[in-house]
Amino acid sequence: METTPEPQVPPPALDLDEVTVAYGPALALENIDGMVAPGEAVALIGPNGAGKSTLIKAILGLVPLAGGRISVLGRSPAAARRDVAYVPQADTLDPEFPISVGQVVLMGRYRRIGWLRRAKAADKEAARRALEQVGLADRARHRFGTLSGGQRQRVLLARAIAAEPRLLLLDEPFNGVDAVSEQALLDAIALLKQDGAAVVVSTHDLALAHLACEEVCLLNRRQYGFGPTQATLTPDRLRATYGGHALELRGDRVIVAHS
Amino acid sequence: MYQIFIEPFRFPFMARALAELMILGALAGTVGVLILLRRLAFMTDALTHTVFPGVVIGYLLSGEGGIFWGALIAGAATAVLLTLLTRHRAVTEDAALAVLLTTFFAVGVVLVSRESGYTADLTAFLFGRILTVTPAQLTQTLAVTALVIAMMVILRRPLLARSFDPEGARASGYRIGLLDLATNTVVALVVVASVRAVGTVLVIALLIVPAAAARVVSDRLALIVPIAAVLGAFAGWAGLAVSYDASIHHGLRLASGGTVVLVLIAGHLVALAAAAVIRRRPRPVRRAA
Amino acid sequence: MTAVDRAFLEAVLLGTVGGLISVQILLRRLPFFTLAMTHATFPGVVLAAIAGADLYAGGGLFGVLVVLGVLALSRRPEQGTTTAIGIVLSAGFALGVVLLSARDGFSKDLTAYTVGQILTVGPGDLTAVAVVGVIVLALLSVAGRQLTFRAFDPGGYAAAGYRPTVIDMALLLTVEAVIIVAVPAVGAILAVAVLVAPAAIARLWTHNVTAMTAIAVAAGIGSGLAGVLISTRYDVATGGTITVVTGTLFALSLAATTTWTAITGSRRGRRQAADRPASAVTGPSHLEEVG
Repeated sequence: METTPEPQVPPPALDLDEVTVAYGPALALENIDGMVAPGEAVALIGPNGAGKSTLIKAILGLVPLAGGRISVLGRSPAAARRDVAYVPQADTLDPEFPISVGQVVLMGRYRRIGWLRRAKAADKEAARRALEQVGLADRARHRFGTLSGGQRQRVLLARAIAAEPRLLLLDEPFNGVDAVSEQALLDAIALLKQDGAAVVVSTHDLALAHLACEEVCLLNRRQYGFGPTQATLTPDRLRATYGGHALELRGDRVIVAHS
Repeated sequence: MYQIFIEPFRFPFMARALAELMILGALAGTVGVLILLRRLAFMTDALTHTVFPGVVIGYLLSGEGGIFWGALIAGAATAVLLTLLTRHRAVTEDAALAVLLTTFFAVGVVLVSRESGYTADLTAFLFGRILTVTPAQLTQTLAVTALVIAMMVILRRPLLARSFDPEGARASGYRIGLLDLATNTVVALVVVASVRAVGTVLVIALLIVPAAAARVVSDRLALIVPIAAVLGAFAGWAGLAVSYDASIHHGLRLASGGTVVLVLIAGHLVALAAAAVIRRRPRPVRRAA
Repeated sequence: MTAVDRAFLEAVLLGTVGGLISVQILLRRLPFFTLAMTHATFPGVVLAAIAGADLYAGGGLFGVLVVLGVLALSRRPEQGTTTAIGIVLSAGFALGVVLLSARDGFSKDLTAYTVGQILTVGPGDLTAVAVVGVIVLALLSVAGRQLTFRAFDPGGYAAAGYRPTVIDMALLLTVEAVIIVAVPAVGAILAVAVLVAPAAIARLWTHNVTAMTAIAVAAGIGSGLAGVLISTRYDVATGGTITVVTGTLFALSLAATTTWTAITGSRRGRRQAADRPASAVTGPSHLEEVG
């Protein structure tokens, strides 16, 4: 007789439970709740200063929680660090820094390589494949700063892919990115999801949230909604999130105007 | 108190030193606010060192009278070279400053080391000769002060706009390049005027510390400027008085320039402590409410 | 071994150590911090001389205090790192000056501290530089990769699970160690030339960190040797001559690489312009990235 193995329920990639973050006496985030399953993507949507970056930092374990709990892959954020990759905004980095694209991508492997050992062939191969996934394999030897803004963003995503993450965090990856790079970023993210990685991406762009993410989290210090993209991105909820004044409706399309 | 703070200045040379230090303290405190807003501390420090070869060459060519003009030319050369260097994309501003600072200063050191009174000259440049200020020097300082204050009053609005938001200032039609040149000139003038009296290493303290202390106490520009000026002038007075008292009545020779700076640093620490106390105070009120 | 032999050996050792560490100082945007540390180490040396204690220990202890002072002051947002460094710098130097003036032999000692006397270095000084050299090599071979990562992308470095404070402290303490062994030879003010200029020269020639390090070491050794040679022949201050040679090397490199770019650049410039988006991305302000 064959015994069917007990069906194992994997822990959610990300579980937010009443998460509250304070900077001094001011609350930056209050009671954020939600869950992201492996292979799913969630878009963090909200105006500037809504706490999107703060939430990402909290998931990385870089800011202390004033209340609530975050669990990443069933572990504490600090314990899960090795399986989490983070993509910063490319324009926060110095374009004159003397470093090649290949070196930047290889940084994604540093935690695996350790302090004293040299990079192994497997590490270099992983970096090469990651760069291929974002369509920049031919740029490995170029200096990082010689690439366009969109290409730099793709290099940083390749760095994250090289780390083989099970949870990927992206901070405004589509800001000021050209159409070709935007498509390359979306493709690479889709591929990661196919392999079972969960994705959290903060963005202003509602259209991209529709394209790339199954779920959205509406955020402006408090949580104004968390759920399937289509059902959650309602005009009413968006108006509440953005404070009501900066919003226009045209048919079923929602446009958020930034002052 | 009277004995320490008033009595020493009966002597004309002490009275002249006091006048020179208080004028320079107030002037440097005022200009220091501009340095604080523009975050130019490193550039200021570079300027204090790069005028050294100018001082040496000026002295070698035409004695005491050449010092001022030599320093002025070296200061101008620094401002121009720095602007040119930072245009190069591979040269970061801090590296350019470090290389300029040390190279210029080293030229001065090499030139001086050919002279017989090597150590004495170097010491005079580094730490100043406040007690030998002449009436002619005082006049020169007053002229520079008038010029600098006039420039700052006329340019106060564009300078503030440029410090806060360079893009916005450019958009509203200000010439950023000219404003930066004006800023560098103002700082260079103060450095040149003070270097002979208080020495290169201590000018930097006069230019940075009073403004920083004032900024700790207040966040309103209308208060920061007068506080910095008064603190600069007061530190000049107190430092001079303390170093005089220590050497006459206690047999302890304290370099007057260094003592002035230590008074300034003490003022800054007091400001930090005061700000901490002020910030603490509202909290219990909030908890009670 | 004559005094001149020792001076040459010291110049070679110091050029190597300075060249190695200068690349890290440049990448992390630490030149101003380094300058402040050289100035503020000064009272430590003076205090040690007065107390009859070991000069290296005195300078080192004070240097650590300086690092802590700058870190503490720059935590206050309205002060900014540059201002904090400026304050600590002037406080340190003023304290040194006042302490020195309080005892006799004011100007002679002072000159030795500010511009150095490489011709009087002894075997002990040489050993100290060699030991610090080993420390620098150890740091670079254990953490070279991580140092570059930290300098390039501080946010990503912390997000990858590294502890920035640990590597920052290791780097700053190593820089302080290099300063302490450089001061007897080239002096407190000119030590910055040994610790910054070689990498600034190398950066003009290459975009590659490894190549930069090699060029920086060569520049450090070359200007050290040339400096000692010229200064002993013409009887001028050695520390000053080494620095002037370094500065000249920088100026020549700048001229050479600028000319080279002008010759080859029109072609490359067009290609780069095609890759670049219309809106140029502005880098972070150079002077704000110290801490």
